[in-house]
Amino acid sequence: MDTMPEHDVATLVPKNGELRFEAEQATAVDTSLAMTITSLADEADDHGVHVDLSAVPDRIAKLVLLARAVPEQEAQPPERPNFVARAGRQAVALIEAGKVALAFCGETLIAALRTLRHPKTFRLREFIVLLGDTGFRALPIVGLLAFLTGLILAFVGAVQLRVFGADLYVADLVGLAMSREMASLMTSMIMSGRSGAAFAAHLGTMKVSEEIDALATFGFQPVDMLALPRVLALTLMMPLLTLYANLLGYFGGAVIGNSMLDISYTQYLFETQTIVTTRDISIGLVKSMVFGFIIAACGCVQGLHCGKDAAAVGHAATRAVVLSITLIVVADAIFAVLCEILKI
Amino acid sequence: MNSADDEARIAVRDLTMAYGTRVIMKKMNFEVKRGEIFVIMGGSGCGKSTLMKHLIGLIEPSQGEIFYEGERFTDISVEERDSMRQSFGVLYQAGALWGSMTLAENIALPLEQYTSLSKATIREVASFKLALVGLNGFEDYYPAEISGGMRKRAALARAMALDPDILFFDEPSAGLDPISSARLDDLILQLRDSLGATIVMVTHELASIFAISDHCIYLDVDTRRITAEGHPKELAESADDERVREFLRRHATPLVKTK
Repeated sequence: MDTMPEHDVATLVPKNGELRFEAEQATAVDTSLAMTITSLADEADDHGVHVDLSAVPDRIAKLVLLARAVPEQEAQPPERPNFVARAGRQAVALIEAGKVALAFCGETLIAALRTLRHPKTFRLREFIVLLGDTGFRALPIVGLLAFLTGLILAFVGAVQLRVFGADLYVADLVGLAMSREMASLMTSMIMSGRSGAAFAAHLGTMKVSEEIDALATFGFQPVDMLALPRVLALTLMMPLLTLYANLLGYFGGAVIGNSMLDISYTQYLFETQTIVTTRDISIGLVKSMVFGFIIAACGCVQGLHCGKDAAAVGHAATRAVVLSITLIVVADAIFAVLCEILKI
Repeated sequence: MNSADDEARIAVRDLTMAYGTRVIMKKMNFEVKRGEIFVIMGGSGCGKSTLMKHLIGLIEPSQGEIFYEGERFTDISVEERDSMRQSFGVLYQAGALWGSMTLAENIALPLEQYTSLSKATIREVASFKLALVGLNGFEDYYPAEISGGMRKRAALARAMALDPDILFFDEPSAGLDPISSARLDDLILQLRDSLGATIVMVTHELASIFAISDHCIYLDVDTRRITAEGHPKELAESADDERVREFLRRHATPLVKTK
């Protein structure tokens, strides 16, 4: 029997009659027989029809008895809201997320002030480990990507500038683009995938294993103990990483200048020095600090508000990265407009 | 508040627990006396751990109040709650030791925060607490480097760091072999007798309920209420509710009557 046929017991059997199942001849039976008998028997019961299972193989009869013996659970079916309700909830959730983020900024500030008043509570050794994780250990990957970014910018620029014989200006292009935009953007993309996701996953796992509850029961504020050092570490290390990315970006540009356009390294360096001002570099560094804060804050917020299972940790890490990259691009756009208004 | 509340170490009044609109337990009333080993038991998913989180103040009750020695614990400021919590020690289900710190550092952290002891003294205290749970020599191990049973004992050592006078245990013997869990029961009894602590324990391990508990309550999943309260041996014999007796005798009414 493959499918359960639609039967109306009432039309088949008179009231107070008997419904007898005969399956003694069956050579091979599987669950579908038990399912069919169970549903028919339930219906028969509703109509006051007596059910006789004596001619059903013993194994199947026992299954039917067991299935019908389990009392109906009164649990309500989980809610499956429709499209409009889901859209509404998403919108509310977005507003809530904004509130949470704002609250986190406030909590971090309060935590910083509290730590300033009681410096003993600051765990220096863990902070140093974090500085190493978010700074020193990121050097190879940040260096590689910055070098390649400089290389690509110079390559694209060289092809165009060569047409106008303005070969040397490739140094200007690479220098300005790296200092003002690319170094801080590339570094923050790497750090959000690297440290932002790591923060969210680490704090999320601590939440799942009740370590954060354990902190709270000892009267420790999770924000003071976990979020503040991370936010501080990344906000401090980002400008340093960006500065380093700048240098390797210039170097990438110089390699292309030297090999494709025959600009000597000295010439390239000189041109970069004349066009890139301290102001250009400072803009990049200030931006990178803001980006660092965004990355760390997104990672910590998502980690601390993580759900209570393994999948939730994965979601938290994903959300941390997506959210921080989105916010970084928005912040960068705001910076661009501000620089234009202030003429810097 | 009447004078009976003052004698009880913990008093719970009309506590209703809920996640959003889903009610877990309704109108709970019970008291825990000083020095008692008090067990919260019940079937899976009845809200035992949730009740413990309410008692520790990690979750706000949707209704009702909790008092410690007559002092209100619910609906108070974070600072007041933190100061009351200093007399608590909590052992979480999986230990919840802080993974980035060694065992000694795990115990030292609360001591550094709440005492003015020197670094060397703190280290000695940490070693002493570890010795109490049979883990001397493991000071510099990280939680990931020791076994589950050891982790649980280390977590117990951390729970005792501030010499609490109330200890909360969330399923202490879950995941332990019978010998380790019997050893843990002995340890809990010894701690109660030597420290004079009050112990609140969530468990459905019958052996340890009968071995160490003085008083227990049974949370019933279906009625969402406390359906029995008393000494476990008496409850097993004469509880009014059949389900409580079945629970304590580890017996289930068969769903299908065998011929």
